[in-house]
Amino acid sequence: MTVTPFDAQPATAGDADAITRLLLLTARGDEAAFRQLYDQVAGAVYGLVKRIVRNPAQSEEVAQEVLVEVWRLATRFDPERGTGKTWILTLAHRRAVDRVRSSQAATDRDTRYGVANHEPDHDQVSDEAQVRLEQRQVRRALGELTEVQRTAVELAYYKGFTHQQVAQTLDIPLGTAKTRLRDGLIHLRDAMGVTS
Amino acid sequence: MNSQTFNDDTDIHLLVAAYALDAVDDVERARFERHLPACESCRNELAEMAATVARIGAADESAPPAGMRDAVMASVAKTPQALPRTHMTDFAEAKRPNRTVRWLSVAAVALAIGSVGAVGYGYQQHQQVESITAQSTLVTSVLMAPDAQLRQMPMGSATSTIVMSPSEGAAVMVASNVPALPSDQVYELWTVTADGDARPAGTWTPGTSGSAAVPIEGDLATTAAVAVTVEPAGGSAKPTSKPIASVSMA
Repeated sequence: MTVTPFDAQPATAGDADAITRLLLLTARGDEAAFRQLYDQVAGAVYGLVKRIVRNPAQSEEVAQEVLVEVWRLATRFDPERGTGKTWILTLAHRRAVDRVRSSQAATDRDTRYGVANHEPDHDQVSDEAQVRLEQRQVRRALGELTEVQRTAVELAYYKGFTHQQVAQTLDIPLGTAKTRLRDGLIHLRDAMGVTS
Repeated sequence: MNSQTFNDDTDIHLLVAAYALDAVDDVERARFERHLPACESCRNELAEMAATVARIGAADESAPPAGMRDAVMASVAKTPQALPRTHMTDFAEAKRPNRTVRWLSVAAVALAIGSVGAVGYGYQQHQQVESITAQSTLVTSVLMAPDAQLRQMPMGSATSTIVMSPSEGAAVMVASNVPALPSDQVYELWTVTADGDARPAGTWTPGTSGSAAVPIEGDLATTAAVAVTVEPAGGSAKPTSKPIASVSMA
């Protein structure tokens, strides 16, 4: 398969059930199924990781680790708890956040720096050549949140902040930060028509 | 121990969104995961929130680097798959009696990882940080395994614990208050067979605060005891000094 950055229609546009099926086959040790699964999800995994980790070389390493973890942990995927794609992207986000946290702990970057430089990276997204329906939908849904909800969700999702760090950065009580994250996600869920 | 942190379950339901966004620390994550098997409403809410969060992530899709596929497949060819969890072990986990001990060990590991992680992050050190991240993932999965077993291993003025999980097929050593060594020496772990044969199981040095969380390398099935010696930098193939600590794994 030849993939070029501009005409590539990454296969993850494909259907969620196919990903779930391939993941279940992978759980039985089927390497051929895993190879197909890779082609379905590698673009989504790499893009998600790069958005959060940012450094391309490190992003590739983390994405690679995530995909090997998908192979290793496929045996623990439970289709009753959600789709295969959700399971894989959940794993990818967690590993990306782990990487950001270990780098940040080491560079001693404090949370004020994080918020001072906090701009939604929408320009970076449109750089990816295709602004697809999915991206527009996510952006629109994020845009409908209140300022505090949106900032809280973006700091947590894109920057790897814990809810304590969100609370401290936005100067709101801990309980409020948890509530803002929750309200924000509920709104996004409804706006994007997610049923799980 | 702060009882608010560990025992107050009244607000744990509110953690669903923070958990789905990975906006929790390791201790909260473990606490929430322990709560999940017993709470159907949290499980249902989490399913929707996780799907929502995945949608945010899917919007950033981009073509992966060309060499990545081959690298992943090569890695997969030599990576064994984890054993499946069963519903029985989920329930056993939810009812596990010795949670205080486990929580203490989790907290100790969180401290150890935190201090190891603080060694500084330069371009050349990133390999090191990467391996620490991989190690801490292994350490966390061993500690959180439903069948994790703890063995105290006295080590002079230091405290250390071996945590072993047959289902993960792995064990880790967690230690604190470990004295620093001169730069030409390291601590080395050994797995000792029933015949008394000591096999190298990894070298390590404590973090700046004297903590360590180290995977124990080697075949656990044939390990009768774990021991620690002080060795020249780089480690030894066979122990060159008397153990400063050991514990039976039988």
